Amino acid sequence: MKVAITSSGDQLSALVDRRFGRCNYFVFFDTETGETEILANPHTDHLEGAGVAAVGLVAERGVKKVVSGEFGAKVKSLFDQLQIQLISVPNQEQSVAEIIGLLRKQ
Amino acid sequence: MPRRKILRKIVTPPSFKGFMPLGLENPGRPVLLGFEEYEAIRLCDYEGYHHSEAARIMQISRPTFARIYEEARRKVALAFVAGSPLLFQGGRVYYDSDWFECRRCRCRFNRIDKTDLGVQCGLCGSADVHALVHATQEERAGSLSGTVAQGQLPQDDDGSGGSPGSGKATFTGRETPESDVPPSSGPGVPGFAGGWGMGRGAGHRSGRGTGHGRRHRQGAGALSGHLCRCPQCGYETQMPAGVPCHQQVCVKCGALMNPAAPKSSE
Repeated sequence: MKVAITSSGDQLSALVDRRFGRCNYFVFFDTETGETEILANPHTDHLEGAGVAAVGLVAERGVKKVVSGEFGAKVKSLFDQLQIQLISVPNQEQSVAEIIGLLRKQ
Repeated sequence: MPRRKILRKIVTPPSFKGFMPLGLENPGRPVLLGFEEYEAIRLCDYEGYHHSEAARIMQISRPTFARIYEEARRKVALAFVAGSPLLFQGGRVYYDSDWFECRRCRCRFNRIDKTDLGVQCGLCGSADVHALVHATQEERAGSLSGTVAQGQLPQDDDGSGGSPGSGKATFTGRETPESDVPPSSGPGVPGFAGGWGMGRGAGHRSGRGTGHGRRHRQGAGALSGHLCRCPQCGYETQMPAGVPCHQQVCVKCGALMNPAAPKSSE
């Protein structure tokens, strides 16, 4: 199963980016193969619709879960329709690697 | 300017798109039943809740519920008599899944698969989770990581995609809200205005005399809505005001719709 994690940097040691639509990077983690893929977010500069575009971006990669800090209302509604689970991490700062570590253990 | 429209919560939309009359060559223009109207009929006529209970489930006031319910019944009757197709479409609703908080990793997650009885943390897999319960009716100030409670979403969220997420949930562990309150035994309960929603009786059209007069005729552009177009199959349809095109699902192919040329009214 694929999981998307918003990241502030292009390394797994980077902290989770709390924004979804305008995060710096997306990290895709495959729980079955253990592979990770890091992708720069192309929509950070959009004045509006970054969230909706980001939903499309992760959805077309077959993601089943998304981990970030905060999601907007439109985004939540879209993910609900797409049946993709949302996970919001608490305010304490965690790295993408830590999140992947938690996901691996499941 | 009319007051801001408030979105109504529904838990599960209908799994099919509507009804077609049998044996009619030209069924004519469909009657559009909004999702909140469908939900009103589902809660009262099918599940057997009273108006007040159903209103609480949908997180709206009882008079508002009564208006929605009566409009729903009127539309169904219209479709029945006129032989119109009945389509479930749009309406002022938002979808919301149940939200939980994990005590181990302190994350918050939603539950997509409502048939799954046991709830596990989406991140760490722990079963030590608790449901986030809707607390108040005021609008949210923060998004997921802030306080939980939420009752109503502000409507004018065009372009404000970064606005607060809806951190609400229903309650512990159960799949559907209906199991919370068992339906009462019969219609013989006094004291509820229009308890079982029968007919066009007193009180429902109280007060402001809005809505009804404006909406009582289906078609002829009476609904002040807007035009949505499906980017996938090209289907265009008029949608009632209140829900942006991006949140509407195309009834033909299931894709999310886009705004088309906006109406000048409203």
